[in-house]
Amino acid sequence: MRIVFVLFTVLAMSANGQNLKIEYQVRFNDMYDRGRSDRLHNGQLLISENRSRYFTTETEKYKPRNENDILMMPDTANQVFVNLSTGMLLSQEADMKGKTFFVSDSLYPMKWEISPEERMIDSLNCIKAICSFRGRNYIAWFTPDIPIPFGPWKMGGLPGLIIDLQDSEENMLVKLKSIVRQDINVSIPADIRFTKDQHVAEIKKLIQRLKDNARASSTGDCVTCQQQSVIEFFAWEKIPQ
Amino acid sequence: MGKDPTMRMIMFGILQLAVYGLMGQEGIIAGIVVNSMRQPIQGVTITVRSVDSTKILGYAITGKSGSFRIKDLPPRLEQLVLEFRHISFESRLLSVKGLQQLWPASLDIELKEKATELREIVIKREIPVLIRSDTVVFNANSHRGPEVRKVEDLLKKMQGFSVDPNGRLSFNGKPVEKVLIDGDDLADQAYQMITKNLDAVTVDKVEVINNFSENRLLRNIVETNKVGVNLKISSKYKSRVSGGLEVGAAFERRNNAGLNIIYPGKRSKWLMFGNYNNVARDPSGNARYYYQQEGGQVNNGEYGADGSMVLEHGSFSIPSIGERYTRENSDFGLSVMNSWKIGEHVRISGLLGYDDLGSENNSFSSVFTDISDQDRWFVNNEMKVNNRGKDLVARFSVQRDEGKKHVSRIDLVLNGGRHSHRFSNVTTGSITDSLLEKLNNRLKEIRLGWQETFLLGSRVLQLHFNVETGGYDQELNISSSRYLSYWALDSTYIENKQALENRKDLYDVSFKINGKSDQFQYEYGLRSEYRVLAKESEALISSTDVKPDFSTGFRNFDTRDLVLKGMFRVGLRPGKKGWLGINGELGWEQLKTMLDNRGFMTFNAGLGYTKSFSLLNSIRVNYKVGRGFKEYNKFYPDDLISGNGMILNGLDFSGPEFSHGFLATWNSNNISKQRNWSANFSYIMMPQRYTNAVMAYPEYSQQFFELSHNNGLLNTGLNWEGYIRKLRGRLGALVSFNSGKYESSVNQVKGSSIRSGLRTESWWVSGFLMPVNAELRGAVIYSAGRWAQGELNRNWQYYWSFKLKLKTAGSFYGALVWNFHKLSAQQVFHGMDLFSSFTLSSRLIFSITGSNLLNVGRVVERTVLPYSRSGSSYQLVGRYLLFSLNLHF
Repeated sequence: MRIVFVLFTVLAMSANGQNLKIEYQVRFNDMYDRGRSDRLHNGQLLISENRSRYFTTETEKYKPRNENDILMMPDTANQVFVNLSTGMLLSQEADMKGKTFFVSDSLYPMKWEISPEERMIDSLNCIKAICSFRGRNYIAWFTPDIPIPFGPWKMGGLPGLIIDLQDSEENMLVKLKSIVRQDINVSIPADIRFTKDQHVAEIKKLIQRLKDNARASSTGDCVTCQQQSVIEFFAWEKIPQ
Repeated sequence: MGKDPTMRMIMFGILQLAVYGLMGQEGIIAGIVVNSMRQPIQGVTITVRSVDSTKILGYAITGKSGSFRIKDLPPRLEQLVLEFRHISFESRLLSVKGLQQLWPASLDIELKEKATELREIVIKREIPVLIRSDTVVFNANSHRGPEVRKVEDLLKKMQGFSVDPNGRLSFNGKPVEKVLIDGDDLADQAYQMITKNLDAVTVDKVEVINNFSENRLLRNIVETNKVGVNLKISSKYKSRVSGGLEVGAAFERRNNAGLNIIYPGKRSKWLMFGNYNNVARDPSGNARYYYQQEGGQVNNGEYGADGSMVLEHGSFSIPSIGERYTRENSDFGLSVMNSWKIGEHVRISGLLGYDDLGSENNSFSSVFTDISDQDRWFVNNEMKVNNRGKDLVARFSVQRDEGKKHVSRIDLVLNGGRHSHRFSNVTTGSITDSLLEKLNNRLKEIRLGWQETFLLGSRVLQLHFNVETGGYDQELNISSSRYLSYWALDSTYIENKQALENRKDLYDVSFKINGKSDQFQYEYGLRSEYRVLAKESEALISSTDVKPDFSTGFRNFDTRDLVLKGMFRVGLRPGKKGWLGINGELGWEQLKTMLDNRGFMTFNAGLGYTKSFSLLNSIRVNYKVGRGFKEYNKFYPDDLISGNGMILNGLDFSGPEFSHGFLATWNSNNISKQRNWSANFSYIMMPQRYTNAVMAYPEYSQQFFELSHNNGLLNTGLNWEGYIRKLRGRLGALVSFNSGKYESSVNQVKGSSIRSGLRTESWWVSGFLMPVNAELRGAVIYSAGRWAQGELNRNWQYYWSFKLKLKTAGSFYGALVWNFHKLSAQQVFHGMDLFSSFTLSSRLIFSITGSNLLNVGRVVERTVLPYSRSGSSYQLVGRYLLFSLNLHF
């Protein structure tokens, strides 16, 4: 059962004053593609004119399954900046040491297919749209009632704000909690380390290096032992082979 | 041609038309959106729809230059609507008669500035389910409803849970071992006390822990097939006293009252439940659970051919006989449980449960037969059954948990009970006949258990010591007399007094070692058990047929059983998600009875494979073979046979027989998509053989019966439930089939029977976004059976129910249920129950509950023969409307 509170505060939006703070409740499976370990996060989409910033903060701490289980995730995970004017999307990534940096990516490259299905979420009329993006299928519910093309994470480009979002295997589930007006200034970071293609190439190099190291350590003078290391790399945005 | 201007014009025109034609085929709309100052507007959303549909056919968002381009539109569209929207501009609709109208020019749209009125929105939404590595977390708020009062009601609404008529829970087909309160075990295995009494409103989250093991040290080492449920109490009820009070009254002097109190503190937790009612509700959640091991049986209704319930508990009960039938109950239950943490390592818990359950059944019937035109044979029969049972259970546990290395636990359990049963049957008319039976039982039992667990590297060592002592006594008094006035015969009488003392002592010592790695797990251990069972009986029989009076009194049954067993279990993980398990048990059992002293080798072996595709999706296959299952224990003569003047004195013994069984189950519970599948198949072949030595009246001699059974039982079932969006509701279907073949031999006289049953059931529960909703459920059961070479008996049974629910925007909720049962051609029942509630405030609810409102359940059995007509009928009673107030504090 859900309880809905609607504050009938009427906001006069000036021509250049599209400053909104949109909050989402996010459930993310830390063990995607391997198992199930859901955690709740708080997602925020801050919109200032034609720019947006999305990030999540955890509402419950990660519980390691064993002493070798280490989660490397920045405090503001899944941070994505969008600038509609320049057609730019920046995402925050972390390296093996946990240091964060920005990667420039293409803006809303996914091809949405809009379905005839509609439903009401609170007082908003929402339409279902599906797309495939970097190895996963996503389902979004957007509302033409709020005609802005933003959404959580890298998702957007629809003729209305994305209210709910999930991947088809329900590893990620994003649900709108609130929309409030707030004085926000979103400034786009300037220090971009890689383009998306360069970043993918870096990851591929890293995987190869790890595999080579593992192979090297399993050979050598050890005659009797049978050591075999298996390295599997899981990425939310699947790496093209 | 190239120099002719006219031709050039014609060619240019043709070329242009061809290009536009191609554009039309491609279905492109392009243009620019500007403001009143002719400046381009960025971020305008443009959608294209057909006039007769709401489906969006194409869309675009303007870039920095204000331009847009919508591609891949169906080229033959005739009526289009383009909508231009921007949060800071007035929306604009443009109607277009086909794409052809737009060519060749691109669209030039001007939008007027307008401040959009946007509401601030705050939606309180909760994600209903979280799935962690071995735990499923249900959010209680997402599963509440107007009929959810107690924790059991809440659990029934969570996908994957099922509750049997005794209140025992299972999740995804796995039995629930414990129900914890914020991680603490307060009720031991009698968790129904909590689930049937605790108010659901106090629970915030329900955690279902898979692979549950009560001992923390075993949780990552032993693979169990059990589930634990942890109720997380809402923060606003923590560290304070809260609870609920319910008071209800109905016509016909029916009433109920209940009080539940909870204090979930940081160091100590307390629960107290007290209930009284005479409206046939279980008052305690059942302290009697402890006595079920003693052979007690709780009969909650009529069972179908496949063993599943036909009639649900509480709907109504079928009387055994009588034209008029009444049943009155008067039940009281009280339970108190607590858990106390002392220091960092020690936890003490206690439980005290008391039940006082009573019922009275009355029936009256009149049967007549016209023997000839002048003579009529008739009897009036009045029957009265009084039952009263008082049960007390007290449990005390101390657990010391020293970090990660050592857990020590001591349990002391005391059970006591007094049960009385009084049966009188008076017949008047052509026969004057009276029978009075009084049976009293007393139970006393003490159990002391001590368990030590040590973590030794990657292994766990467990030591168990268990001592049980106790027994129960029975007294039976039967007096009957008969005077046959119609045939003018003499009167006869029988007085029969019997007493039985039953005593059991048990000593059990065992050790077990468990270990586990990623690919391998093992368990081995030794167990020894020594049991002493003794029965002493005495009987005094006086009868007109036998003179002088006969009496007997001796210690007539004594058995000592020593069991030594070694066991092992090995598990291998051939894939990432599967376990292949092999287990074995080899033992020696020495059984000394009154007639025999013999030893025999026993063994059990099992092979199983479990594959868990995910936490909620698994397949399990098991095969078990064994010799010497302890089935003989079932056949000890626990009870006196009443009403036939005979004591079963003898001993029972089953020699070790080979048994084997196969079980396969599959469960797939997709909670997010609200779909649940399960399937099971099992086949059990279990021969049994035992001997009875009977001291029977009036022969006063020992008779020996040697019985053997060769039973095979096949069960298979398929269950599906899912949410169908188009039907706006949940749809479910169940098909089950079972077949049993029973072969028995009594003193080498053979007999056999075969019985099969097929049950199909389907249901639909609507989830409309409107005040009225409904539930529809129907079942068809077919059963057939044959005994020896006799006729094949076929039976069709039908059941269906319709539930209408009304929920208003205010405070009212009402549900009316109509049940229809056809158990045979003569047995047809209609029942109607009502549930309605008015929420007066957040703490106070007024409700009206109606039971068996139609009161038209009627059975008529009539036989008409020449010079003979007989008939009997009965109606159901127990109709009431209960008005109650429920206060939560």
